[in-house]
Amino acid sequence: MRIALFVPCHVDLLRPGAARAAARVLRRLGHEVRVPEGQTCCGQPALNAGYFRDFACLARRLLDLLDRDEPDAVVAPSGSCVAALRVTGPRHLGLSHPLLDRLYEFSEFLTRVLGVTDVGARFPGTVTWHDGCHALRGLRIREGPRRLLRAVRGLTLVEMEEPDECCGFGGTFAVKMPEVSAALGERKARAVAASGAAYVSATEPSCLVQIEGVLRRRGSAVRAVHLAEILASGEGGDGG
Amino acid sequence: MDRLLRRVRDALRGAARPERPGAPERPPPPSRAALRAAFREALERAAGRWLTARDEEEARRRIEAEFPGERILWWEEDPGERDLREAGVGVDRADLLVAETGTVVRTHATREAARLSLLPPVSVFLAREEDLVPDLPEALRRLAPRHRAGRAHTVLVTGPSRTADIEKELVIPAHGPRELLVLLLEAPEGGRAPGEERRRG
Amino acid sequence: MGRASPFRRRARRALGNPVLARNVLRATDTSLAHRREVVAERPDWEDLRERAAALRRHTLARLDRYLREFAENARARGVQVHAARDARAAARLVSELARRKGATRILKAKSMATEEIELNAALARRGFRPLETDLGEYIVQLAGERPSHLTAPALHRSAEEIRDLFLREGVIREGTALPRDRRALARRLSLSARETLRSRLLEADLGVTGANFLVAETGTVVLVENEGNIRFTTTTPPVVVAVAGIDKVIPRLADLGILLPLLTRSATGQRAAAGVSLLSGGPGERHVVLLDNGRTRMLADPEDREILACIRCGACLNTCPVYRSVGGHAYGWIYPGPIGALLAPLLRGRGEDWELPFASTLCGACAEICPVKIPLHEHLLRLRARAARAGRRGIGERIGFRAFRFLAGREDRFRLAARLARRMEGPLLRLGLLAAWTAAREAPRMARPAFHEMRGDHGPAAS
Ligand code: SF4
Repeated sequence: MRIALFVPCHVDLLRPGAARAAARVLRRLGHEVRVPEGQTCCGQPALNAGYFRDFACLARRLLDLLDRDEPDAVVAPSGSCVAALRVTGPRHLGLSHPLLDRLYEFSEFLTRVLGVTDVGARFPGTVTWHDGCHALRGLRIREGPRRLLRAVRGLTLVEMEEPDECCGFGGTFAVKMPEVSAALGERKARAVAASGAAYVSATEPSCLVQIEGVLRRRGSAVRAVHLAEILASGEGGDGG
Repeated sequence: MDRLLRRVRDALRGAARPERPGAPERPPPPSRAALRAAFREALERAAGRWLTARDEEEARRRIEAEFPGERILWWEEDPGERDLREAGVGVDRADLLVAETGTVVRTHATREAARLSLLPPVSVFLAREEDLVPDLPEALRRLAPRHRAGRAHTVLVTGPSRTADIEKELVIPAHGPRELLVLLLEAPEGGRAPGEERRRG
Repeated sequence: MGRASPFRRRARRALGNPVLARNVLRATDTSLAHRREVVAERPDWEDLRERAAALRRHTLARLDRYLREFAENARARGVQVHAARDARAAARLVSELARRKGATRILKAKSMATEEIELNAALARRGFRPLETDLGEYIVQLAGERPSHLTAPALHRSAEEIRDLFLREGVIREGTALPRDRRALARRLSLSARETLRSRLLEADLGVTGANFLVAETGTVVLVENEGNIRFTTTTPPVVVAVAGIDKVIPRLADLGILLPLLTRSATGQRAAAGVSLLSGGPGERHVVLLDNGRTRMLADPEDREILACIRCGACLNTCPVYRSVGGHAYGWIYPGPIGALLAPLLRGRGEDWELPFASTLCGACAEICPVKIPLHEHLLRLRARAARAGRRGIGERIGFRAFRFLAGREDRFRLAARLARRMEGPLLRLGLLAAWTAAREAPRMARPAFHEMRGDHGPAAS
């Protein structure tokens, strides 16, 4: 398949490793991965803050750009950006684009489109999974990532309490309501710590930024890793 | 009222009018024995107690034996407010028993009648096998004519009164009865329940 | 950051109260656990939700017809039906009634509508002090507070706090031996309230209730309870008045077959409430006050109308991570949580109410649990847009997003801005200017290079 990699701005600027890892996994599975040039931001922050026009403007620009070479699929290592474009945009402001039917979050692309569960990764360690809200409730992604993780050699998946409770990031919420956001983050960090896992993983980079921020402040040794980074590690990869 | 209705009408001018959804599919009615078992289980889960008797005579003896020395008020006595306050046990008829939830349904004609299962610390309902219905929709179906016809005051009671307002700790009783019993008059095999003629006395 | 907003200030206060934090979390957890158990028993749960959602939407779209039907049928059963345009009119109707009846002893059942119209304050101005008969409501009344939850008004209070309150207010006599164990204490306190209130439940001049539903075909007021206090409130006094929003109307008695199980299972995790009263007319003098107070305004907007489908079960509060952290008082009005963050701006509409749609992470847990399938988080987002359009978010924010759109509209501008931000990141952090983030969390550091700046094996050039 000809796949265009959508690298949202927060991945680009804060967690580029997740995008590199996603590209590596897809290539290892025999697909052609391109990164369309000119990508910036899909406008999600504006959407969540209620500035629909600003969002629509950026969203259309990005969708056109990603669709330039008419790829078979566009894949992003972020559930929230995909949900903003594919679910919320169409529902709230009638956003439509021929690409939307071919736009996927990374894990759903693997499990639902490619039908893959074992990508041949090795990742020794105990991992607990956080369900990012947009992936979970917007895109209905729950079991897929867990299946992918269980197939990773050396990896033990342990569930934390309430893996589907919000981590408290919430876009601008994180800085507009910092105390509440932090309180939610604390609860999530406690659940992560109580799970006994050495790593916490998610398919949402912004959740990882929040959870990691709280874990580090607490002096926790638990590391936050993106799902793609786990799936890229091992024999075929360079360890992320 | 007219002004309110006008505001509502104006607000809905040109609104899409979605249709009423159909009624859910009903499962086939379970057997009498299954209903009984289900009701009993649900009642006990709701902290109610279950008794049976062959006929009304035996029922009275059983209730008297359960609460020796207590003032027992019977529904046919048409008790007044003073009796209601002094009684230890109030015995009322049940109109319907809802098996799924262990609920007793009773429609009252007077204010005092409505308080017979409220004021005395113990509330007993006498019911007959044919009062058993599988679920709330069926109970409502049977209730509806009474309410469509005019004034009616119905209570649906499920277990003794309770509260969980302090730290979610379930406490029985709250302001209503502390104990709730349902006494079923068992129909002899294939026959009508005894006491039929005294129904809705 | 400037001055903190009202919600933020109240939330901060709540977060600084560990007893409250613990109580709210524990209570909501308990409700959710009970709910989970009884929902799992109903394989038709999703079907019920679908039907309830469709029924509520149907009813609201024809509310003119059903409301008229309700009024006619209630009147035919001897009920006096009144309409109140706003909170003040409704409160006046009830307090006028109290005055006319010389009602010195007033029993009140728990009701959000009477909270909404601030009835107790209106009655107090005329010298009436009604008795809140629901235990939770009684507790907040004694404490001089307002309910912090739709179905569990005192859930923010611990047993110890309630013990102290009861001692102070003479509900329990000084020197009474009380258990230390929390659960035993909760039990003891609940029972003592029963004893203290008993005599007052037996003598009254006027009863005031809300309504969970109003049935159009039979003119019936439906009241759901557990404590028995509502049965006292509706049978002790000779005169009873029910105050209910016009959104409470349902077409038929049979509709309760869908709505009641959804309500009780969602609210308290019970299969059925201990008591449900169906009151079609008297005995005694009966009044119903139909409350508009902004509802017809909501009805006129097809999107806002959907929010009126709410049956006030409180489940969206229990599952909301924000509510679970800060409790109900932080929202500043009597409807808290996700549904409150919609009702406050739409019904009351003060400036500060328009901040509430932003007091959410839009995680969507509320919509997932709502028994009548209101997509609450989508409405929150919609109201954010409405607030932004109306300029309620300040000119700075509007310009900020416009600038962001300008920068992100072309890659070169975006790269330049990103590089600048990266250059500033260190100094900003050192100067503590990112405190909104860093007060409780470590800041993420910007990648050097960013993904799209890479030219090499894994970057764009290799594609
Ligand atoms: S919005 Fe839905 S979940 Fe929230 S209180 Fe209303 S009915 Fe319950």
